[in-house]
Amino acid sequence: MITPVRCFTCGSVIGDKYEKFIKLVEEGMDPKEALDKLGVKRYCCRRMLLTHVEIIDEFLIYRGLKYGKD
Amino acid sequence: MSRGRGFSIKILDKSDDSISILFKNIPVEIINSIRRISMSEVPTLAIDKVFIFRNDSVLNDQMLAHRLGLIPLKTPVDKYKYGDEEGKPEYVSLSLTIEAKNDFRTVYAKDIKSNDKEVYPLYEDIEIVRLAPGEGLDIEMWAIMGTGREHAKWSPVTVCVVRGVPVIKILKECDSNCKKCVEACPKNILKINNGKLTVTNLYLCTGCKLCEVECPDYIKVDIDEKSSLFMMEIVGQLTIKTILTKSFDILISKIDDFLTKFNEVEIYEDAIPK
Amino acid sequence: MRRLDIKKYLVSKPLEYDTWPVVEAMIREFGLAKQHIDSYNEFIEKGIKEIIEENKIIKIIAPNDEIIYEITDVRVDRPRIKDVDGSPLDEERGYIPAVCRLRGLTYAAPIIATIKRKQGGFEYIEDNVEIGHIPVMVKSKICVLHGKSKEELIRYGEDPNDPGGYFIINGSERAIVALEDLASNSIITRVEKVSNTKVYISMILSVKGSLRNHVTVTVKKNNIYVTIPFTLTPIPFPIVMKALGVVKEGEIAEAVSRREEIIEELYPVLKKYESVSTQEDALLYIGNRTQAAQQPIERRKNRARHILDKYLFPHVGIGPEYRLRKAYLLAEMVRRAIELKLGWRNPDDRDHYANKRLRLAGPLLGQIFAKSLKSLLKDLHYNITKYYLYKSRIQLSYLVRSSKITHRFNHALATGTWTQRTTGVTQMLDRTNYLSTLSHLRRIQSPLSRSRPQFEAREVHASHLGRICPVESPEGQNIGLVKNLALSAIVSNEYPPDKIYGILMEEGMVKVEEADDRLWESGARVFLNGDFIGFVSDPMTFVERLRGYRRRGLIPPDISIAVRNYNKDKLVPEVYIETSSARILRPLIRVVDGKPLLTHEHIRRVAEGKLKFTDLLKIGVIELIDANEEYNVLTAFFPEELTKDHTHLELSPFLFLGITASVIPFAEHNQSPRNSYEAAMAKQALGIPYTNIRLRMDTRGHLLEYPQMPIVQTRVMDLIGLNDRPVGQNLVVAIMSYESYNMEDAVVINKAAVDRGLFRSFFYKTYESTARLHGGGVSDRFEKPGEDVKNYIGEDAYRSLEEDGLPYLEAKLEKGDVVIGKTGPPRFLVEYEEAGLTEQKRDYSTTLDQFTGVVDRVVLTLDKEGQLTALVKIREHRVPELGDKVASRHGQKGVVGLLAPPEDMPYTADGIIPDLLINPHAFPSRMTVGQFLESIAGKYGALAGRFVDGTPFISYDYEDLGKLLKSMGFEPMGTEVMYDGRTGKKFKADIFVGIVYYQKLHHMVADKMHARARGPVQILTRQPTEGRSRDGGLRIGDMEKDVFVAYGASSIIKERLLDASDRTTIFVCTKCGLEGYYDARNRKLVCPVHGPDAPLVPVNVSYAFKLLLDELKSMAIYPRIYVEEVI
Repeated sequence: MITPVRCFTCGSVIGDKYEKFIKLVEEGMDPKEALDKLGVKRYCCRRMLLTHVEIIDEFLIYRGLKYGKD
Repeated sequence: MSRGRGFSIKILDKSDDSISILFKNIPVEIINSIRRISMSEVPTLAIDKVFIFRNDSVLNDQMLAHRLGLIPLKTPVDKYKYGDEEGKPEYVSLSLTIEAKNDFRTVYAKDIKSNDKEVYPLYEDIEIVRLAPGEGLDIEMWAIMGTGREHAKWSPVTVCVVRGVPVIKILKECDSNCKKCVEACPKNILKINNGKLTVTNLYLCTGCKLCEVECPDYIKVDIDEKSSLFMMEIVGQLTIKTILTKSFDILISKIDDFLTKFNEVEIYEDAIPK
Repeated sequence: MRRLDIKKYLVSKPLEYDTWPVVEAMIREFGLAKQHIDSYNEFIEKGIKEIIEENKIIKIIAPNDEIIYEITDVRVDRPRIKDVDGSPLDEERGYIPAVCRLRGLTYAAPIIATIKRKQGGFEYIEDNVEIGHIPVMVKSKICVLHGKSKEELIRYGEDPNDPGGYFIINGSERAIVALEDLASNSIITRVEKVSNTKVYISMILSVKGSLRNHVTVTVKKNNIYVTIPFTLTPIPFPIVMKALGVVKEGEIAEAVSRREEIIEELYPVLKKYESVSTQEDALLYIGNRTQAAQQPIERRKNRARHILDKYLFPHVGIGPEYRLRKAYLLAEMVRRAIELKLGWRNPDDRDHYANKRLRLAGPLLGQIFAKSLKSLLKDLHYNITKYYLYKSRIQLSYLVRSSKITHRFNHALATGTWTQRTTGVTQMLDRTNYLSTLSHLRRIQSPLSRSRPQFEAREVHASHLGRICPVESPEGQNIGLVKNLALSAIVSNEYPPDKIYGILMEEGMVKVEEADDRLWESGARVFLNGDFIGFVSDPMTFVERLRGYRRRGLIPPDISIAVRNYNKDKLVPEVYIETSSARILRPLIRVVDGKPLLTHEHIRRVAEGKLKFTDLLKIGVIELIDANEEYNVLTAFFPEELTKDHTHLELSPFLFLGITASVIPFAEHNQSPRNSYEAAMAKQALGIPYTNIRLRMDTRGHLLEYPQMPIVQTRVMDLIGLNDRPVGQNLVVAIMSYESYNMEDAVVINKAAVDRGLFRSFFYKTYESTARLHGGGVSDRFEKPGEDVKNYIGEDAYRSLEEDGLPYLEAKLEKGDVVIGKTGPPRFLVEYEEAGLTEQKRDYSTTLDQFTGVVDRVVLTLDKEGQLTALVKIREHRVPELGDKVASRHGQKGVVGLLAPPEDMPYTADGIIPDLLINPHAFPSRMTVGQFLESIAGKYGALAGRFVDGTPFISYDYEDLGKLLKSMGFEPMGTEVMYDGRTGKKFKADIFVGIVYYQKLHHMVADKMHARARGPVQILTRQPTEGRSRDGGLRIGDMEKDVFVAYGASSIIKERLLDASDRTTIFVCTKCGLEGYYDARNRKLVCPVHGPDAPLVPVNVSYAFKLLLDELKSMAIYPRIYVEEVI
């Protein structure tokens, strides 16, 4: 849904890193380098950022039903 | 081995949030006790009671409360009540009141207001929730002291390792053309310098023995059971020093408790069979 | 949505010839739920008109007048119904799928007809006659969502990724499950054994529009019979031929075959019916064997003509001009049956997919429509006649009872009953997760009985390859009968055969009627959609030239052109051209001289979007092949296998899998049943089923808090959009035992991981209550019941309700609490009497039947009858607990055996404590090697910041993965040195650790936990109720009883079976052995025979036994109990 606050496995904080991570990647940085840059070393924390899906954005855009001609 | 003889403590590496220490000639059980205690018995502050007055966000109350709980808070040492201590305040009150006016807004940990200057979210940029225009939050929270045993959010450490120190013995000088053992090592510890096999960074070795499997006649990897490598990485609520001293305190008080209990038990001489 | 672009960061094994962009283009263009939508669209546009064409005329014969009503045109309008207050409800006013789901409405559109009335030489046209409503398939051409952009869909309250292809009936989503049928209009031969003699049968199911008729030719020892519709007995073959106009015996024989062996078989039969020598005689012969047997001769003959012209082979044509063609087709059937008898030909394989068709939404709805139209017209006829008597001119729209059609459609789709035999055609759409929805829409059901074994029908057939998934099928009684479309399956659409006919003639086909002796002897017979239309002399070149048309895009790609029996001794070749719909085709790359025609250049241009998949079909690089044409094809699986003999190459080797099977990474390394188990389990995994969850009020639903995309991907996953709606999480998994807490398929989960959010989910359940209008101004009311209300269950239970009878948001509820408060007048007469007043109200509140829950959302709406309906959605937070079920993607399911404290769990040299420990015993016998590979690949992927391609057949092998992992500084075999968390000591063995994608399945302890000490009993038997929902008891069954018997614990048996069940005390008269009763007025026990002073003794018996005695007595049997003092 939204970035988990902590890595499930080790408990280090990653909730503040996803925005930075995805920004770096969108700017063209390799995900591996981006993770290294953010200091995410272990594979448990790395998979948290790598595989996260920010679905909250898709949930947010529903602003009630607006159908037909406005 | 007599008490105190021959043991040594060496700090191999240190930073703000991690430390690695080499303990020599100290039983691994003691170091492991420290590891276990620091993980689950050192009390810290974390948000535990959440009063939600308003939550328009897409995250449900339970999930929001869970996320708030996981935000690490700077914990002043011995300021708040833990267990049956007396004369200390029970909780810190924090609040989060926010409304997204005209645009989508991400709520960060830094938006949390605390009643105690010494207690604050350590990581400002943790995303708590995202609000759509018009949505808002009005939340009051109590942070209380607790331990990792009850919930992982109170644990002050992330990873904590106690492991044996590897000993890599090069049995025979070998023909330098064969690089099998060098290539076998996943951590790239072994190097050939001037035709001689050397170990570059011993403490990286996990003891996987892949090199030994490759050339059993030339190389031997052992684990020194008397020494241990202690590595700890912390979340930040408490400093490394506090965590370690607290851990020792808890261990010692446990032993004290045990001793007291033990002394209370009467041992009769004649209970021993003849 | 923000997430990493999988395609960009996928580590795949480099392939020399990678056709993936083409596969992607294909699935993008053909869609995943497309078969149903296509079929529905075709029905709306064409099918509905064809059915009207069959029955469109109502003729009313009045004493001196004749009126003819004719439906000249019919169309389906935009979705629109009448609202409860009679006002029209259309898109503008909110008649959209989202609202239909909430209000419990049916999403339907009016069928509008134009009707012409001819009377006394005048013609009147009445337009806009509504003849009924047809349910609208979501995202079909007439749906309001058709062609809407993503933003618009969101405004309409839909998940933009929703595939559509289902109906909304009374607010619930119903998916049509395609039915697998035996192919119509094609001759199928078989051998049957009737009392030790073999009979040879060739059969045809002739279908045109709504006409479906079987014609069977049975070759017996010395006779040949034809079963014709509407005749009472089978008719001898020569007679039918004569009735069709082939009168001379010689001509009949020549129509069948010119080969001596066959004519020899035929000769005695022809001889036998020589006496029926003219067409008229033959017609009479048939007429005598119909319902018209008692009528005048001319009527009988006409009856026979009518049957032959309309009901015999309607697919050939309706009318007398087709008689000769029908005769030739019948002769062809006879020839095949005789060839079967002579052993020249093998019986047709009924399980071969060449002989199968799918019945999709269109034809299925057509069936209902045709039936209901007939009854509507009948009713209309009656009404018009009635009004004609009054001489009043009345508008037709008042006479048409459109509800006839509307109700039929609604009933069929709501219950799934099509005919009495075919049930379960529609099902509630599976919304557990996105994958299960997609899979449900691609399901196929075989109408065969599930109770009989029918092994052949359940087995995977070679012709399933690329059409039906060989992996995905349920276990148990439905195995092999319920199937799923493969990814590469494309369902054909209909193309008018007359458009092909010209091309056939141009290419040298000779009509049957014009064929010369040479062609009859050795020419190849041409069948167009099962209709025997002509001959060609050189079938191979003929067929190749025809295929040329298809390859040049001159005729549609889904036309099948096949040759059978070429170069077979004694048999003549047959050319089949099929333009019919509902055949399953699959794409293959054409190969010429051992080289695939699909070049790297093509692939590149497809990848760039400059070339579409359909373009490739038009230029003949890729062909769509159906199961019949596959007889003429030699396909290579991999490009490396190509030789000069090959004609085709598989588009991609993994395309024969279905949707759920293709999400299994490294599936080719698993034992095959494990893949089947996973295909079934993936449909139970929790995830994000849709994004509009806040706008929906589904009866049940789950939502995973933090779903993740799997690190180890298959290419198909991204294509079908599974990465936008994931169904699990990547777990750090170690394979080791842990203090027996993970034996027998249990798993140990790290408690700290659960604390941090692993596998947390929400469970949603909606409680519904309608305030019914009882008539006479009396209705139910939503309110918080007061103490004076009958059946009041105590103040505490109503504490969450507000004055309007609805709970406030986020109210915490517990089992037994009232969710919706409602009162109303007492419903039963007894209650009136008891109360003494009629003003008394009774409580009709809805209570919570789960343990806990929080009010998530409350909706008040008007249902389709205009009654106020309250929907209350309850949410429950589900944190993983002991006994919850989890599974990897390799059929490795297990329940949580322990939430272990992290400090006790093993850790690696880096300090990583695994999320999950699975026992090593789970692997040797199950051989799910794929999971090991996934584990290694997952660990590598996390370290390298990459996703790893695990697509079956084209992914990295073990060695490559090991090398990759080693390059990241880990042991190549995926093991790591681990330490015991309790002692800090190193384990002797290295432990296999890696990242595996796990799914939380929807079987959770919170839904199943149940115990009972005391509780409700059944009214009839007074035994404890059964089942958790009724707070039932736990049954001591036969097997359990045996345990106690073996142990000698007789008191336990007595206690469980009698005292704790339905013990009752009856009074037995020792004189007559009958049961007495207690007379409360005189305070005496009374025997029904011997009166009040009889010696009655109390006896403890089971109440069920007492019932038995009563039943026996009711049947005039005297059950006598002998009572005896034992001690």
